[in-house]
Amino acid sequence: MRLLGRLCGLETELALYADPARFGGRQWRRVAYERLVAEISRSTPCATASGCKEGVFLANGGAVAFEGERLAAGAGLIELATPECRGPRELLLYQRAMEQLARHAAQQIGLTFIKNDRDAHDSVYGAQENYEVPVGGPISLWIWRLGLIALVPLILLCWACTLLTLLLLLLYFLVTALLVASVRLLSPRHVQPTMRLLWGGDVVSEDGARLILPVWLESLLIRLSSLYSLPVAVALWGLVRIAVFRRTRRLLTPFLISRPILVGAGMVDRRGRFLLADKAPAINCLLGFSAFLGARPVFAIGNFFKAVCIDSFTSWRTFARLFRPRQRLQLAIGDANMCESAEFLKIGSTLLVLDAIEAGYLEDAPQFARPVQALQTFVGDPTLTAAVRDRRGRLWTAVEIQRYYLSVCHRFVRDQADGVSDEVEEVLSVWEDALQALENASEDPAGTDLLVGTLDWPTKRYLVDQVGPGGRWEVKKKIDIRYHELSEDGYYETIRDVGLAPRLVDETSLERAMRWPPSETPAARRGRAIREFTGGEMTVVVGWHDMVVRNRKGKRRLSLETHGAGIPAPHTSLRSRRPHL
Amino acid sequence: MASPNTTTSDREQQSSVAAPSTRPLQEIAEEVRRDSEQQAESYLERTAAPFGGE
Repeated sequence: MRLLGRLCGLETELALYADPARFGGRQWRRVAYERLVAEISRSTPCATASGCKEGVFLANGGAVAFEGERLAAGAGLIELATPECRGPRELLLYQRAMEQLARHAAQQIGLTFIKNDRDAHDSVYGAQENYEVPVGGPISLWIWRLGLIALVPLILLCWACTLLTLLLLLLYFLVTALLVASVRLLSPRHVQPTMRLLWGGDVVSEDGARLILPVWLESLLIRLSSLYSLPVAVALWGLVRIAVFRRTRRLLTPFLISRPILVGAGMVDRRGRFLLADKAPAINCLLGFSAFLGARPVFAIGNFFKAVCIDSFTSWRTFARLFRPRQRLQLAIGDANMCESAEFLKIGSTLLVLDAIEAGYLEDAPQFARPVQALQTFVGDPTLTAAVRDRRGRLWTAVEIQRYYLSVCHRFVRDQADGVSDEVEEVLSVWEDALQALENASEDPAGTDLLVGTLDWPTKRYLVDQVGPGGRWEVKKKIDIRYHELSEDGYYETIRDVGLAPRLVDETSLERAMRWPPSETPAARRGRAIREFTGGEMTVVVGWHDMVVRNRKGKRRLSLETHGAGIPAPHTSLRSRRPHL
Repeated sequence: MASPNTTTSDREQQSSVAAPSTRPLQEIAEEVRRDSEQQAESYLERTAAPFGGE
C-alpha cells in the first residue's frame, strides 16, 4: 500500500463580503454566484455540474457550487471543491488553486470571500474533508449492502412524497396565478403586495428567474421534506452506525477530538473567550447528517443520504456505486485553515493515521465514553493542560493523545519494508515539530507565539491579545473573522505577505494547478473531457463519476472513473470543432 | 507538483519558503489592531452567513 496514496479532497464553504446593492435584492448572494461563475469561465473551461446542487466543474477537475437551502430568505454560500488528490502536498496545492481561481474572479466583480467556519451570529459552515476508506470487513460490507436493499421501500416512499409535494407546488402556482390575475383586474394597486406574499416578489418588474418562493412557503417546504425524509434518514443512520467505517471511526475519533490543538483555527466566542477551534464548539454528535435537524457531527454521512434519496432518483448508477467496498469518509469537525503548514499537517496526519488504521495499527488507541464532551474540554483550554479520563481510567491531555498517535505512526512507518516517500517523512517532521512546540508552550504560555504564522490558532490569538482584556467584543470578533479574509486586507495574508508565515506552495505549481488536474486521480479524465467538449456545439453536463455529452443528433455518457486512461474517441458527430487551450 | 517519491533536491526546492520578514510581527499586530477598531460592527454584519451551511 502506498502511504498517503488514498484519494482525498476538500470542500470549503466561503462566506461572502460585498455591498449587496452591487448585486441587487434580497437574493444578492445567488446573483453574486452567477457572476462569479461567468467570470471564472472567462479564464478556464467550465461545464455544468450534474445533480441537484447548482454548480460547475472546472478544467482542473475541481468544482464551484452555490450552497444554499434558504434561497428565498437570501441565504447562500459559495462552495469550492478540490479535485480528487493523492497526498497532502497535492491536496494543499489544489485547495490553494481553487481559492486563487475564485478569488481572481471575485476581485473582478467586487466580491470578497471569507474562508472560515462561523459568522458573528454563530451560523456554522466551512470546511469538510473527504477520504476514501474501506467500508469494513466482509461481514460489515454485506450488512451494508443488504441494508441498502432493505432501504428501497423507504426510499420509494420518500420519492413518492417528493413528487406529491411538487405536484401540490405546481397546483399552488396555478391557483395563485389566477388569483393575481383577478387582483390585477379588480384592484391593480394591490398586485405587487399580492405577488410578494404569494411568490416572494414582483415577477413583472424584477428578474422573475431569481424569485423562487416566499420565505414562509420555503420554510414550510423544508420542514415538510425533513418530515418525510426522516424515516430514510433514521434507517440510514442506523445502518451506517452498525456497518460502515466502524473500526475506522472508533480508532480515528480520539485523534480527531485532540487534533484541534494543532490545526484549529481559533475563535472568539460570545463571552469573549478564546477557543482553539472555530467549528468544534458547535459539534454535538459523532455521527450524523450535517445541519439536518440541528446535527453537527464529527463524521458526516450526508453524502450517503444524498446518494440514496436524491441523486439515485435520476441515476441508478449512483445507487449501485454505494455497493463498492470503499466509500467516502467525510469529516465535518475540521476548520478552514489559512496557514499552509496547518493545512498540510491536518491532511497529512489524518492520511497517515488512516493508513495505520487500515494496516491494523492503533488497536489500543484510548477510547472515551463521551468523545464530544472531551472535544469541548480540549478546545476550551488554550493552556493545553486540560485532561479527560479514558474508559480504562487513565487521564489524557490532547497533547498526550496526539503524541500517542504520532508515536504509533512512527512505528508504522519504520515497519514499512519498502521504505517511504519524502512526503511521509515530511508529515512526521512537521507533526513532531508542532507537537514539540506545544509541549514546550504548556510550560511557557508565551511559547505559542513561536507558532505565529505556522499554526492558525496561535497566530489568531496573538492578534486578538493585542486588543487587551478590556477590548470590545466586536473588535476581537472582527480580528477573528477578518483573519480569514481572502484579500490583501485579510489579517493572515498581511502576516504572510511580510514573510512571517512559511509558504509550502510555489507559484509555478499553483499556476499549473489552476489549469490542469492531478494526473493520478479520476480528476485527470474529468479535466481532459471538459477541455475536449466544452465551448463548442455540444452541451456537456459533468459529475464526479461520469459526464453526458449531447448535441443535436444525440447524447453519450462517458465514465470518468478510469483515471489516467485516455478518453475514448466519441462518435464523430459528437466531436467538438472548437480548439481549446 | 512533485510526485510522492521526490528526491532530496526536489524537496529542498519545494520545502516551505521562510523568507526573512520585511517587518516585525509587533508592527503588523498593531496595524491589525488599529484596523479592527474601524467599523467593527458593520464588518460583522456584512460578513454574516444567514442559516450557515453544512
